[in-house]
Amino acid sequence: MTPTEKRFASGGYLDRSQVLKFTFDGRQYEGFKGDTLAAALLANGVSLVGRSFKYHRPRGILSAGAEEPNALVTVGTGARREPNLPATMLELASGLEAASQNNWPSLRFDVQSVNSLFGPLLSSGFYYKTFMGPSRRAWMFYEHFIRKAAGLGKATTLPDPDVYDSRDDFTDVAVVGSGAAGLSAARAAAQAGARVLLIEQDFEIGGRLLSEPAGAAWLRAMRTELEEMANVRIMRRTTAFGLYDGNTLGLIEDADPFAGPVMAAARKTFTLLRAQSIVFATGAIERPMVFSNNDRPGVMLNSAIRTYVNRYAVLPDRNVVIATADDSAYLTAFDLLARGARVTIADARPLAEPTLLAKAKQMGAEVHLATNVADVKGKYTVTGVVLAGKSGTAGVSCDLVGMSAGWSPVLHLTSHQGVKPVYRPEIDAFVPGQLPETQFVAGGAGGSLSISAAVAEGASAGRAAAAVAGKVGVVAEAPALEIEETAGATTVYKPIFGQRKAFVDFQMDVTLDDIQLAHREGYESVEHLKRYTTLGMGTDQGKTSNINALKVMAKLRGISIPEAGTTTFRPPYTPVPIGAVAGRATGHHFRPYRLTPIHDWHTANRAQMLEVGLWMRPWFFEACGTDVNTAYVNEMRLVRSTAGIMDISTLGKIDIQGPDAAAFLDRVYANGFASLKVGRARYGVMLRDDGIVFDDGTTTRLGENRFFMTTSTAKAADVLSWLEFLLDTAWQDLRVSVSSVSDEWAGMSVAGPQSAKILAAAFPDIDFSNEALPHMGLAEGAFKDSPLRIIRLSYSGECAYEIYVGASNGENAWRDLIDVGAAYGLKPYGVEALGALRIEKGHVAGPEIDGRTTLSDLGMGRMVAKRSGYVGEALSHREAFQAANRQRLVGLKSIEPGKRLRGGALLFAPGEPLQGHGRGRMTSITYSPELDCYIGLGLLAADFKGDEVVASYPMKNEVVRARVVSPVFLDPAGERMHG
Amino acid sequence: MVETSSAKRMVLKQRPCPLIQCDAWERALAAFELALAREIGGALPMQVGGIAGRGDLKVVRAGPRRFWIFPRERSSTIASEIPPELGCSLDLSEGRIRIEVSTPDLRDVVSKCLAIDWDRTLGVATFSSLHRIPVMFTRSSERDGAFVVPRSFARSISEWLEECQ
Repeated sequence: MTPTEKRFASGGYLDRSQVLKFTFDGRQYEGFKGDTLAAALLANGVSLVGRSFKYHRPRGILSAGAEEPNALVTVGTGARREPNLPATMLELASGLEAASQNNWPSLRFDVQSVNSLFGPLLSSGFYYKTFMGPSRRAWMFYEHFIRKAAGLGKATTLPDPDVYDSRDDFTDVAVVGSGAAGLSAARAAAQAGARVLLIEQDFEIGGRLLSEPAGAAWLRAMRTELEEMANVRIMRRTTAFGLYDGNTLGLIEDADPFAGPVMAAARKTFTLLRAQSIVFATGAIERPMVFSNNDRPGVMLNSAIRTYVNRYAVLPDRNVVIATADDSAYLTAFDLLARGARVTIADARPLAEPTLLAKAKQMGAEVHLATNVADVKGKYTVTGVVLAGKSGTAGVSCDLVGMSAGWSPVLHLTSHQGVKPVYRPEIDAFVPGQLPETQFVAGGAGGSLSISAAVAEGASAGRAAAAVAGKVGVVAEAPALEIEETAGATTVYKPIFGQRKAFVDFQMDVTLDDIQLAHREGYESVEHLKRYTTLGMGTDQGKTSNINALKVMAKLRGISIPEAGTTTFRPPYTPVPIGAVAGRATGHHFRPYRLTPIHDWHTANRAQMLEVGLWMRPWFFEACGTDVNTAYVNEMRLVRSTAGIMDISTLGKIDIQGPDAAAFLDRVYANGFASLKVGRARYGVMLRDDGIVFDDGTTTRLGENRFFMTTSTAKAADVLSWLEFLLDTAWQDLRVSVSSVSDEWAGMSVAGPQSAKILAAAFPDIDFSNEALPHMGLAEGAFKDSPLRIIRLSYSGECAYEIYVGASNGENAWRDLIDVGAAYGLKPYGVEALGALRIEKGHVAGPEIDGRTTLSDLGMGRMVAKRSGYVGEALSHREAFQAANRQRLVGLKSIEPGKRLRGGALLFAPGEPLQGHGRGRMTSITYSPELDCYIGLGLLAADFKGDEVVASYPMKNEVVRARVVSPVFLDPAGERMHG
Repeated sequence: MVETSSAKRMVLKQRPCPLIQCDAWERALAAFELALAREIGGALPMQVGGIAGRGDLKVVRAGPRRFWIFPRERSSTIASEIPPELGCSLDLSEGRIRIEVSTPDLRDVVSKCLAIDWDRTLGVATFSSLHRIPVMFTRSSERDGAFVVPRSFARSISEWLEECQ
């Protein structure tokens, strides 16, 4: 047949006024709007479209839907290249560039097709059995080449230029599938008053009705009715790929290629749909037969041939053999005969429905009962078949082979939540098991292959689904659908053994022989079979292969089909691009960011910013040095000699109020808070239930029943959640309210010998003398129209004040302090200097409070020596926490001039081999301008006797000797901060 | 007020958000509600997410025992008379920003931000997370809505919203 003879002049769901030009493997073709790529290729006489995964055998188009295992193509070029797309699902668009995969140098002449000659060697497990030696590491060498030889298309490595969206949606009733059952269900649910979302993976709604010429008028009427209903939304080009808890469906929607430029809209949209009830009207997939060379281009599913003829107005070829074990194939034969094809029917069953036989013969078909296809002839196209019947074998020439071994209901979604499929022998298929009360099945998905039954089941399911949502309006009967029906499968199709190159899984190149080998080698469970042979592990997830495979295994083991069972169905039903799941949360929007009220000042004043959690914080200011190592040391000197100002707005801040607030804090903190006086602050440490230190910070008593807690920046959200949890569960009797006020207050710390003078100048209404505002004291006031709190606290060891002002005036307060403080040498400093200052002072922080340390480990055991009844107390006495080799906080000082210490270095005794985890670890390090050497904090075994360790940093192959000293390197008496 | 207009059809406005939070103690809820209702001069919303209005005040029930009061202007007197044995109040006016969104595509924009049922959002306040940030969303029509967001995230959320069209 010439290409022009393949396309009918009329008919089908095509817009012939829109001629679309596209390319396949660089050659230009034409198709119509309404075509898939597969349909357009067939219409242009292209039947060879790919090479198989392992053997590189020539492959054509098997199906007309999402189950396609063979016709996988790569679409697009450059950054938009996307591999492994089934041509059967690709909506044809003008300018589409498609290419075949897994071949070199060309599709027709593929060098690696030589693999086919070694087929007997390349059986299941071949790689693992063969490439075992000579050493254990040999596999790492072979794997690269094996993966290069086998495979599908190649994804681009360029950044994806397209936009993807991720969204949420809600509905009363979700109907998955828009065939007869789905349309009927959507109509009934909508008439009952429910909000309905109809989901269709195709770009046309109608499902199998699109292949039924007699159903066209019914489909048109139903579509019009639904489109006019205000409470019905229809999502075309949308696949429901997963079912999750709470009737949540994962949907992936392709952009409409005719809606405008691709860049204008999201290329794909991921939707999480919450439905009160779901109707699964997902239909059924026809199963292939298993015979020699059943993978040749030109061998197709009968239902696919019917779809190409009726929906796409394409006659794939004119001389056809229809192999079947199912009545529905006769409808394909009738449609082909009506289009002038020559048809031979090979029916595997000894008997067939007499009316079908009579009609077939009357229309001119040759029918052979109890006859199977034994072999297919031809390489790039079919040239004939060998039929095996009661009277032996006979060759029949043909150019197209249809096959049908029954139907598999699409029960993937219904199985995702653990509902086991149930085998129904009378239809030779698994159907969904008992579903939850909010989920319903209708039509082919439930095993009903009759379209009129699907309509009735759909209406019933739609009504019931609407009722779940409380909608019980009157539902009018659906219009009658007059259509020719068949009985479907009337016998169980069983693959015949002894056939060579008889493919069960087309995409993964798994043959009957492979399954027999797996059985011989003991991989009898379907789950083991799957993993040993890779059956069902392709991008098609074995939609056409799984049932045939388990039938083969059941027969080999001498057990029934339900005893063999199915593999586990897991999402996704079809491949989902990661980009769509991420949606817009990429690049700049990968995660949200937080800005302090003073952020704009920092960026305008040459601060190098650093992401700390979600916060953007000044790392260092270029005014003190253009690189971090210079700048932070200068900033430290600044704080130690004059004064520095630091943005501490990122600290977690929690307002705690209520008559029982003091009692609450007394339980939450390991050290007591009930005795804290109004107007005073106290350092506090919280433990987890298990006795491990959770977080530290200071809490200030603002009034008898009110406290202001600060937490570390990193733990702010965790601490608030923990406090809320305790109040909601453990201590519901306490009258306490906790609220995050982290965003409420801008915070800044002024530290250094000049700090008191600077604050006195900036806030003349407040007395900053030692008597009026001692260390850990509070002063309150107002700044412009915002509240003001000043707490004398020190993290650096210097005399320091934390100034909190309403966030809206944060930058104003900062500017005022900078202006006033300039005369005293005040300059800003960043987090690098902050971290270094606290190390000099021996304050612990995140690297020490790392979820493994106790109070005693951190040298704070005495804080709680006489206390009890606080969170974590009971388990803090565990024997393991008292072990003699428990790692405790120490200070470490480099004793090798010019050598630096490293955070994370392992600590060993001098002379010990530098192996294993050592005796401890370095947690925080810095260069100390005060001591002119590298210092650090570390955790070292308490039973370590020496005063010197070796710090080993294997990542850089560095070894440094360090002296074990007190963790407080500076001003141990605290004279500086007490002023 | 910060106003941005995306190249498309969306207008975003950032405004200060005066807000007083009131919490009741569990065993004093009924008395607390009476006291608060008396103080604001009207009935309180019964359901979480419910909104009640009285003059320049809008009261949202933010939790079973928590109310958010939105006055037109910042005030230190609202809910200041609640007896401490019944509950407490907290001024959160500095820490929240109100982002007003006006676009004919509001439903589509919201679907890309919040996991909420659009058809059930008219006239109620929805507490949810936007890109993992806790926000409160209200809408007054098919095209006008507002997000109350933490101040530190306001710029990040505005950018996110602008790009949702």
